[in-house]
Amino acid sequence: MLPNRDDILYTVNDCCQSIGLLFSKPAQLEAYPINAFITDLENAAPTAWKTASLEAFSGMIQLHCLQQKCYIKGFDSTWFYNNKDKTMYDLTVYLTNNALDLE
Amino acid sequence: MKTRFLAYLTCVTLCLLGSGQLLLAADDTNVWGSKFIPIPDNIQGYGLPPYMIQVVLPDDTSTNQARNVVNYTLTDDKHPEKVILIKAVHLMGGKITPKKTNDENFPTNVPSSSTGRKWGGSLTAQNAELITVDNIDPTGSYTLVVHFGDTASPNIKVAAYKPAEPAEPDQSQGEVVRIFEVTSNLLSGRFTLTVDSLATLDAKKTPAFDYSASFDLMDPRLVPSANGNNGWLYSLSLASEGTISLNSADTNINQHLSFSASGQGMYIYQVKDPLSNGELAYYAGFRLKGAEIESDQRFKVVNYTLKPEVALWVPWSNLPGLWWSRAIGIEGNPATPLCVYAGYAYVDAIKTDSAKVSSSVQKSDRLETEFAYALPLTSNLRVGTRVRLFWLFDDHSFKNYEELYVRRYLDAKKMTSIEFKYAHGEVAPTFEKGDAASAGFSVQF
Repeated sequence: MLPNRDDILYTVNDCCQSIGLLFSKPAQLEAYPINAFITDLENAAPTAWKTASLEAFSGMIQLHCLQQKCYIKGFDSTWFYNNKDKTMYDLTVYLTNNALDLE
Repeated sequence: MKTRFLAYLTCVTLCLLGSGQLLLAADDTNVWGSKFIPIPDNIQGYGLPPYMIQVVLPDDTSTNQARNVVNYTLTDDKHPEKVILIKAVHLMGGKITPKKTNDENFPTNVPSSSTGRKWGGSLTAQNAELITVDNIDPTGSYTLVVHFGDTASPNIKVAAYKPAEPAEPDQSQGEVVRIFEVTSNLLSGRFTLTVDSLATLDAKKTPAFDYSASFDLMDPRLVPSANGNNGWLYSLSLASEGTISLNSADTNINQHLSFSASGQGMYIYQVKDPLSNGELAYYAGFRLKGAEIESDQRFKVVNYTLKPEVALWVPWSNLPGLWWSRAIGIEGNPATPLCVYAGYAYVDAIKTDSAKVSSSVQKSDRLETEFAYALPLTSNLRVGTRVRLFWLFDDHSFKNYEELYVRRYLDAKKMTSIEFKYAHGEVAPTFEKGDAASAGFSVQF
């Protein structure tokens, strides 16, 4: 099923909550900068394997999408490193626009 | 004429599918809309007319309905008796730039998607379509109707085309950034490079920078479990990382470089959050670095290593941080779990320098473990620690490295931060003793 952006917004929020990153308002989630997110998740990863936590987080997003019979084309942890100057809003737009319907 | 027109539609469809460059931005997606737009540069030269019509469908148009447009009828307002029939063409991959969400709370009565909330399935991902028609004046007055079989849209006024002012060249990005972006695009976006500068408050000590570069040999592959809640993530990559001081003689910075090829698997899973109705996510991963070269920055001490590694987030280890976050209302500062890492390194010394490190230490196979933990104190304040332990088997010795940091974001949007860090100990391959307190200031533009 193709998601609308609210579906993606709630999915990203669910994934953030599942790693202890809490927001009470969608607008706060959308404003959260990717650069700060990378820093915090790299701090929770081994020095020799800095990307591990981000890989797990992006895999978690894909898992949530697969549960809804949808896949995000080309999305993995690399997106975060290529979009350090963006925010979670840009992530939700990217996920919405690159969703593939598996039904 | 009909054949040529269908050729136009095919060309537009194929070009847009291939390029993926065109944004179908809907200004207001709650109403029908339509306007003339020029054919973009990237699809000119296929015998297309110079203009086409963008049609924006309302938000409440269902996906099925939007994909079952039968045809469009276009009427010249000056000659209403002449109706132009346009066969439908569906452009997949249209892009939207949605409006940001209003300042509302997340609904609390909706279960999370992982616990059964179903997606709506209404259309916003592809809520605009493009149609082309020959011999038409884009500055004229036209009315469009979209037909969906039994139903049809109301009359939609097609906004006339108004040429835009020539755009100023984009000067916001530096040349280096642009070169990097071009390079990354050439490699299909699978190349990643990050560079972070380090500076100490003590002027006697020299600046340094951390860098990390990686290239995915294959796209990460996700294999979900039967219930869909958990899954394995596999990947293959090349990587290089290190810390380089601008003065390589400065022993206060633990300078090192490494280049490696690796394959990895990571199991991602969820468990119940005992403090709420939600779920908590953790991972356990293994990686085999099959060919790693580690060196000091002058390449005087060079090792080949083979490293099997495991890393995991300890389940429920972030409950204290989560409890604290919920108790005082912390937002945007993650309570991440304790990260535990263990790696065994088979070491083959390629180049030795006894003045830098004794050969018995350098050649020694080693077991490395690491613990990393951080806690949010407030929404903008974070404290964390990292401990690395090395057992050198051949040298029968033990080395350690500890790091403690406090990060304070200086603005609500987390664009500016200051970090105090104390680092003490020795790291591979030289195991030179380092002892440094530093403060870093970070501004994101």
